[in-house]
Amino acid sequence: MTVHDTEIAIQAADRQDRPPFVQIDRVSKTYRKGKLAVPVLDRHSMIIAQGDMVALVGASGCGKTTLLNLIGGVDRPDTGEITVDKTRITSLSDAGLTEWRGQNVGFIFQFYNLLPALSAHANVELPLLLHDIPKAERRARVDNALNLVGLQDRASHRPEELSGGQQQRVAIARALVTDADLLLCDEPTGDLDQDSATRIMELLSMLNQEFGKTIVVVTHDPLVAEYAHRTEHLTRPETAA
Amino acid sequence: MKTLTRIRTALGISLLGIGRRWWASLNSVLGTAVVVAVMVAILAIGAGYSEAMKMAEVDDANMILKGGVKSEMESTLEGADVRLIESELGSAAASEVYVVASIENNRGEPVNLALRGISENSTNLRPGWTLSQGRMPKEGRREIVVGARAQQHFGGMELGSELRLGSASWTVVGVFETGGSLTESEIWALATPVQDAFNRQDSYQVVIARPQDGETPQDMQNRLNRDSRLSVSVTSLADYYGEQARAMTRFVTIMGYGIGSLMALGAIFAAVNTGLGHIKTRAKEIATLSILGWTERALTAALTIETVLMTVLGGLIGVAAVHLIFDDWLISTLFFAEDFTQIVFDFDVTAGILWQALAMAVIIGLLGSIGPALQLRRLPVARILLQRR
Repeated sequence: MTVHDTEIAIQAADRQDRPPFVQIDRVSKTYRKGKLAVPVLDRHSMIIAQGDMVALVGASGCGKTTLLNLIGGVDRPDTGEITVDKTRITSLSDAGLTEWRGQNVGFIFQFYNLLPALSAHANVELPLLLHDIPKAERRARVDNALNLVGLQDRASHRPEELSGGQQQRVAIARALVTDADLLLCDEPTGDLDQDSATRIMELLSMLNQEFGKTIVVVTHDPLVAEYAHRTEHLTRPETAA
Repeated sequence: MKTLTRIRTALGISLLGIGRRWWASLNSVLGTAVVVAVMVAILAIGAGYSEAMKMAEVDDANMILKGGVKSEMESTLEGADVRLIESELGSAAASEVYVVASIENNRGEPVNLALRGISENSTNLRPGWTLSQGRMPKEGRREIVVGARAQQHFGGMELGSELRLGSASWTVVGVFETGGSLTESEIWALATPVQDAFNRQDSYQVVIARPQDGETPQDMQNRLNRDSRLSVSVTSLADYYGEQARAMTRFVTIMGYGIGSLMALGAIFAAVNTGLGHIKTRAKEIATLSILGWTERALTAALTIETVLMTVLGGLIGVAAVHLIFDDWLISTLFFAEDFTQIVFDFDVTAGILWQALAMAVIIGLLGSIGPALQLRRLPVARILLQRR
């Protein structure tokens, strides 16, 4: 065992001691295509500790994105409970869930999902508009977030004027700006070249290690999964007619 | 407060991106503009007609017709009857001849106008009547004064010009105004030459008279009909013209709302289409806002407000267009008083019509946003966020 391996083992042991941040308890989800029921999650349970970085991997259709959406309150499970940072999100109303999502979760998608009419600065500022924050402080927080992702000089650019990697970094800044503890990333490097992908994963890794963000990454890419502390393999349940 | 912030910001973001879907938005705006313009134009015709029929120049006067008839055209009062009426009523009466005369308008088309043969008291009984140009006709001459609107609309009635009315030629010696009422569509001469030219001998159609203090038209009718030689109907001038105007006003109003409503249906569908188009082109934006904490209610409200803003803008454009193009435009139509003379009146875009038009635009916007709002609620947010575009 090398020194580096020893450090990783120690960090893993530390995380074991941390309280659970995300608790998924026997969650099931089935989609319907006409008369066909397509189960994607069947009584799935898992625990993610605070400050953990977890990769969700598995074949297409095994429920990785569905699980990510359930953790983020974008979708609801058919059965089971999900608790995030002591909030049982499966019990929240639709409006309550939306509000919770806006305050507690940062999302990063494969295709960035930036608003094309807004500059990078305005895109990052968006989530702050729902918080009662003075304009000067909003500006400072947006500048900090853009600084952190190395895009302070691109603040006035619109998404179409940025490369894919830059757009993804804007999306990460937007996810960070509310200081959400939970970052959910769905194939964050899926649309990027290798260099840009490496920069994005190093950035996410830094956010996890230096800022203690809990990060869940859905990926097909084993190189991306390597950045995670642990990997959760999902399998596809049987399809029932 | 947060909901308002969400609505305001969602609306602002949507409006920022309007340049990317300007054609669809323009479609909704112009669709509503056309509907509102048509409705306003038709209602303005009704309002102008009603205004012309108010006979504002007549303060408080009654109209005495032959017993049992309903219009001046049908009425015939013999000279003997008129003298009995005048002796009963005293100086506050004016006997008048009323005939329909055909002239050619400035496009060479024949039009029927009312030619009124007046007596000495006719102008005294119409306090709002003023001679704006020239002089009054003189006894023994075939001279006429013409209503300002008739002169303006039909042409060929300048001072000094000759007009063929009946079998004779008449000289225009003056122009009168009555504040835009029906009377301004008439031609006036002294009663005797009209009787001569139209072979009316010693007969009249109507006597205009001012009632005694507190006397109703019915009281005056009873007073006159106490003389067994007389059989007359008395009505106030305001009621007479009000009754004549009612049918036309009702017709125009029903037509205005009817056509307006039918066209509004089209505009609602246009707004629905535009709204659905917006949802489709903005699906990513809406899904992104939803994921960032914008509630469905706020997004729906913002969509509705945007749709209503578009249709209200269309409404304002429609109203402005009608106002700029048609307001105060003179038009003429048949006077529905069984004599088929032409009455000249103007488009009258009143404040009431403006509010009704804007209300129509708001209704189009509200109804037009229901479909898109339902579509927004069904938006598969999670799936949309995974798509490239």
